[in-house]
Amino acid sequence: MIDLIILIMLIIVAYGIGNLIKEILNIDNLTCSENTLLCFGLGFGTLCLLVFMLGVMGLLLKKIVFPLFICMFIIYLIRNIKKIPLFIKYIYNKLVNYHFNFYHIIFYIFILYAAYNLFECLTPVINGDSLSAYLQVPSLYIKKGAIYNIDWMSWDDLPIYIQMLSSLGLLLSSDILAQLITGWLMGILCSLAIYTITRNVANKEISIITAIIFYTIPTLSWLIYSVKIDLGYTFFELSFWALFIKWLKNGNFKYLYISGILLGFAIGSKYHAFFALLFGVGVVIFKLLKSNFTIKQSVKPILIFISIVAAISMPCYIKNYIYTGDPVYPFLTNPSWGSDENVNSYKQPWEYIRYQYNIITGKDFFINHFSMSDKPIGIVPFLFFPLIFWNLSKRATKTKLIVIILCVYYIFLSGIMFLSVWPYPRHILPAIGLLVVSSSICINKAYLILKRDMVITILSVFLIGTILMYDGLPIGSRSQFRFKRQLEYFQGKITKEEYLRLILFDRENSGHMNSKMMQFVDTLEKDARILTLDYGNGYYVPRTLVKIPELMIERDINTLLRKMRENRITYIYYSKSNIIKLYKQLNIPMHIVLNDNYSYIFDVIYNNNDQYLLKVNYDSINK
Amino acid sequence: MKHIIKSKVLTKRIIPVIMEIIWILFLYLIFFYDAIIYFKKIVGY
Repeated sequence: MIDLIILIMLIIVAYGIGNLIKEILNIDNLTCSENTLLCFGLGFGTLCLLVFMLGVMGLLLKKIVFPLFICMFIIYLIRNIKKIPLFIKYIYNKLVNYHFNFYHIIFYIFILYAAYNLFECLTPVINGDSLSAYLQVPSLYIKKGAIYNIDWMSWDDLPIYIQMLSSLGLLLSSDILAQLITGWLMGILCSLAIYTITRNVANKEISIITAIIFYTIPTLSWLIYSVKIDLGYTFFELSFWALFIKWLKNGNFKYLYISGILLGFAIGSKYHAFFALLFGVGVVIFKLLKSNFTIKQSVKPILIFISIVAAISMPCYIKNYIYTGDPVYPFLTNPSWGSDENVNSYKQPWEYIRYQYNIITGKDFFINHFSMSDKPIGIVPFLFFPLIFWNLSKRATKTKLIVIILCVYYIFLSGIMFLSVWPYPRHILPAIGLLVVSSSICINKAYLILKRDMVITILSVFLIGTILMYDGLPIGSRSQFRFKRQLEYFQGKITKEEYLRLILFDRENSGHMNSKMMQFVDTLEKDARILTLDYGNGYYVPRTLVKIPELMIERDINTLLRKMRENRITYIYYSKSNIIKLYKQLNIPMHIVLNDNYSYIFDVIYNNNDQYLLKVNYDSINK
Repeated sequence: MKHIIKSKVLTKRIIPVIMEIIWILFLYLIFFYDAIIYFKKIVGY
């Protein structure tokens, strides 16, 4: 519960910081939703930068961050103490004067689903990627109290602004708070961004429906219940688009420059936002040339826009350059990074259509099985899509232009991801959001053709179906087991350790170190470094769990030992069933550590179930 | 008929609506297929 209280305080602090920056920059003529979105965008972005700076200065310590946070909260509260009764009065009036409208059904579905997500996010993190990378990097930084180069890991050399929010969560409370910020809150803020963008092309009712459709897409459901960075990046990029579209509509350059700040935060969160910059600059050039600007006149705003984006995102890239010599690690040092996993199975350009079908339905044509390490976009945003062709010419030119730009951006970004090593929907989430915005005009047209209540009914049925079938509600024996444990944890009947033991550590095929192995690992020397040969998830392991992909496939014993010595590795961990599955999947012979000829180097010091811990006997080689 | 073609009612109104009906049926099929699998999973088959 303390996590939820700190989350509310954090929301207030972020809003306060954002509001202050907005006042300093003297931004006006914003609608209520634009104002809220901008305040949160600027606020959370500044918090990312602030924590990053503290990390660079070696001040990433609880005794510094916590008092600083409390001070900020108190200052904001004193400054705005008069606004609180007004806010309560506003909410009270809204509730008293409430009139039911049929489309509110969709809103109630959203409230219930968001509440369920909140409940899930209030339980400890169990997402694999989060434990092995996105939570482990902040926890290692916090252990040292500074941002440093983690020599055995490459995740810390990618843009890390969202991981700074996770660090803040860990410093203020626990991994649960980190999950609440980067998962649940960012999910809500993304739908706020979608609402704000949609308001440019549709009315309030349709904008709310569109925002809810985006919130319930299956791709978002598992990202909300994790500490992954995708939602944070999506939020910053969608905030950028909200302001960018405002500039497209009214031509005031101030909005373009402010949108640059938000894009800077997005680029500092994930490389994919570079494509938004590329596309955005293209649109700026197009718009300026169309508005009778000369090329000379166009250069200045474009340069200012790019400079703002660069200035905001630069700290992250300077850090990468200092630590790795490659500002956009790993693209300059190893451009084919990740391609050895052979995830992308699309070989021909015309498979782009198949790719779209795959990521939307999660199937191969028509209903064949399709395997993907992500959830599909789902069909709800596309329900009324053919209606986009219905009397399009009658719509206002600006709306038409916006919708075309958004659709082209989706085709552009999904086209790039189609060629990338990991063509998953979560990497194009902002573009999906913009496509959902475009679909709002189809809902508008459906209102004209069908009866309004009929459209709402169709949408409600599909939304409930999507939430039930794809969004992981506790139906089915395994999810019910998890749900019951979550309830028990929530009621305080079981501790966090017990919960994790039941749900993660001792669950069959979870891929995590089991609880007995962890108890043994806890008895090892404090500076022990354990190399994992499979997908070991490091965050909960009481010693440093090192995952180096090149050592997982190394075939030469001398090179392996040399590299292990360089990385100060003293132990090796693997789970037999997982390692067999992994090497079969990679289609390579079993790791040489398991070769009996080298058993004199690797002593099995503990094994439980099918999990093994080996001690590396470096002395035996010297003899 | 000539009037309908001339007024572009066919291309701008009727065809999109027919497309929409086919499209929704197509999506319903996918959705229905998943619903059957899902129902089987709940029942435990």
